[in-house]
Amino acid sequence: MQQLTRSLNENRMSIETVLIHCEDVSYRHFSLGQQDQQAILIFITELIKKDLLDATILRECMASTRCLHHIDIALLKNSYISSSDLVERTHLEEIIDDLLAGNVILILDGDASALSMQALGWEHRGVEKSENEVSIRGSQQAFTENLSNNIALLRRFIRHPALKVEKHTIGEMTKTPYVILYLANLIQPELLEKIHQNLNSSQLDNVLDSGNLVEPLRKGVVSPFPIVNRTERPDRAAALMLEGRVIILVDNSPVALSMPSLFVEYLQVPEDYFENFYLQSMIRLLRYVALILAITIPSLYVSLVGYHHELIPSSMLPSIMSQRKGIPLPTFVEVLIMEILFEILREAGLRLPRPIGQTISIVGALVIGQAAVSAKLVMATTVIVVATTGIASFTIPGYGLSSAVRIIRFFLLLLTGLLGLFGFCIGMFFIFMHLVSLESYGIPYTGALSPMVPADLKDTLFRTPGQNQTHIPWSTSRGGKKP
Amino acid sequence: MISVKQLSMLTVVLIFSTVILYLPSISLKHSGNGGFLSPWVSMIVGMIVILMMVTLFRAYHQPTFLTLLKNLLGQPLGIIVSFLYIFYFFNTGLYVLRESIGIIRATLLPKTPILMICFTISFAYAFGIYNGIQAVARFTQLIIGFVPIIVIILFLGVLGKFHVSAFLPLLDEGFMGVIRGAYIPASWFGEVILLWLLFPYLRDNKQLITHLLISILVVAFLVSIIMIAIIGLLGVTEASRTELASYEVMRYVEFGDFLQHIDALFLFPWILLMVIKGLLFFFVTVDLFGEVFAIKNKAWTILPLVILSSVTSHWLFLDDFSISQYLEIVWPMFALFFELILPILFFILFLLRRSQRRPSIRSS
Repeated sequence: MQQLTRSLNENRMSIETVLIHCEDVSYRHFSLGQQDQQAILIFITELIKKDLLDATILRECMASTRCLHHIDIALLKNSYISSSDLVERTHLEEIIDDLLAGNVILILDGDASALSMQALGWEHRGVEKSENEVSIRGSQQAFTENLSNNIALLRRFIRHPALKVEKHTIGEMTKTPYVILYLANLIQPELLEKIHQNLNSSQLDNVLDSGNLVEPLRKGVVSPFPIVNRTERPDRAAALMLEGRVIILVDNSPVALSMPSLFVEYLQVPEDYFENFYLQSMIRLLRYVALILAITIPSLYVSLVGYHHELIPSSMLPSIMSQRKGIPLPTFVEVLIMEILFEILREAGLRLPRPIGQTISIVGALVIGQAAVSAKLVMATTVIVVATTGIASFTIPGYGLSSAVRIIRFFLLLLTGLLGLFGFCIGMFFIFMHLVSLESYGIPYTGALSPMVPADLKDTLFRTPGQNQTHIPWSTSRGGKKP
Repeated sequence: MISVKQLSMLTVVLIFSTVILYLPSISLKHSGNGGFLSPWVSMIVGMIVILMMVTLFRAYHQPTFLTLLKNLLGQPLGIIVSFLYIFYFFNTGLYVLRESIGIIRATLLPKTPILMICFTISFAYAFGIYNGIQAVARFTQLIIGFVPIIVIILFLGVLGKFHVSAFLPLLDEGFMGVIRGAYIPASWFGEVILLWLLFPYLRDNKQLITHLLISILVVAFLVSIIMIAIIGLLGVTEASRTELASYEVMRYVEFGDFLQHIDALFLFPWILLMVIKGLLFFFVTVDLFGEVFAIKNKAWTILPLVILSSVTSHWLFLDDFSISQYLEIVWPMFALFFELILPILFFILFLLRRSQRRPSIRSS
């Protein structure tokens, strides 16, 4: 670490050497006190609020210190600069980091230290409605790209001294600020330690979004299933913290990360807790059914039509068999092609502007489906099966789980296509065995269900009344071990 | 680490998966319409084995199987007996694997080559073993619900076609018939010897005996119900001629006009249960083998074992007839030697040692 010197010019030269060709860096020279002691303010014009700089630093310093004989950094810091957020720096690297983060640096001739003050003021998006995690009841706020705003949003939900906020930076190049938030009385200390370990050992160069931290955070876990949850809703993040999770917010990212994460939480939505529990329990159960359907329908269909006709009820068999006549492709290939086509439509719908995207999805599905049936390329039942699968998969609230389901569906389809019902059984074995072997920060991923935690079952497949805001699941808060 | 409850669920799967398919026809050949009592007699073997195992496990301060054998029999003999048990577990695993293949070919995939099915199941075994006993126990906890569901569906589905007359006169082969019918199935109940190698993975062993005995009672109870349904539907003569009587009964199950021919669906949970059973045998084989040879990373032994088991099972049982021959002639003697006779000898040795040690303690 290079120390600052007492010479203002030398210090400026050192900074300029590092920030060569950075024309957005401004150097404002001025003098202070009776002896016209030289001082310099260094800042990045686009990152600061000029009014604040003029009022709290320049004007105050220049006017108030006019009668002083000798001025030093300590005196300015303690008596003349009214900024609440300022620190004294003595090393060049620290000054450069602060400068690039948007701070204003004040260096005084004859003093080997500098002041770093916050005067941030760039344009940013205000708090808006959540678009990807839509909820009918409850708060409608979503996180933004502004880290301070996001912390404030969470603080407004949990006004308790146990809510701790740790500030760090990550990324060799980007030096992105991020915060770790948790309720100290609920989390396990080992969990925090493990998170620090994973992030510190990650050696990431660039962190542009919270998504960049997911891979280091799920270190060593090879799985399509999400074991680090993401949310863009502060109310959901607060609820997760109240259940013993750690939340990570990253600057410039409107998505919070939460860990440890359980399988069951990907099928929960905020309004489960804000609405009548009879209705919400039923809807949650429906989501589980939809999840099973989204994974199994195409494979079961292939196994029934392609391998085990005897399982099809006799009243349905003639209709299905008559459709099969003249179809050139085997059922497996037929379903596979339709599934791939559906995925293409879904991806196209997502990437295009919203109004066009929706049109493409609907028109694509209707027109191509109908045309394929008319051209005797696929069975009408196959179109129904693929469409039902797609609709069922849309009911899964967590995008992470929904993506995993897409992969699993193809895996199961492939095994069933090869080995019929036997392939389906073995495929299910692989999926479930993998699921139960997963752990998120030492907590069984399928916690509450297997290993079964009777106390936590109250908020898994369905929600029981009266416990919604007070029950803290020990599956997550106590590391899955009985206290 | 696993809990006692999870171990008891593994016990249910271990016994139930085989007895549900094979016990009815094998037992009914000897027991007549009193066959529904045979599981209650067979289970006594399982109970004796459990009592002896848990007593020895606790008496020697929860050792591994190899340590226990070394303590009881001395270093060289302990290792030799361990090898014998490795052979027993591996052989039983092969037999379970081949049994599964036979049924899958007969019911679902008659044209698929044996090796294809064999490698698929073996790969599933390898995956389960690789994930560890904790994952296997959790998986079992997820699917254990299928066991009562199978029994309930089977029983309710045949209720309308039930012939009470099949039970008259009651116990037509007498009590000796019931006991004869219990002989082969006793070897399946005796397979709980495998749990001995899982005891060191227990988080704690409170109420271990109670939980394990209850799981044996549950299996006996469920199998009795199935036997009653089979006898009531097919009659003793027909059922004893049908190799997979409970599967045959499933063909008769129908609920209304819509839910018919659900026999293939019965195979879905059964395949899962059978995979767990097979992988448990290979898991303890890998575990004991690794311990005997002091292999630090046991994962390296899984793949060779899987390939070996696939090839050997194919070569050992050339067709389904040789499996049923093995099952009726070789298996009971072979299994009961390892499951009952050897443990009884260990237990007697332990009692003798203890009786010798007590006076010496008193005299000192």
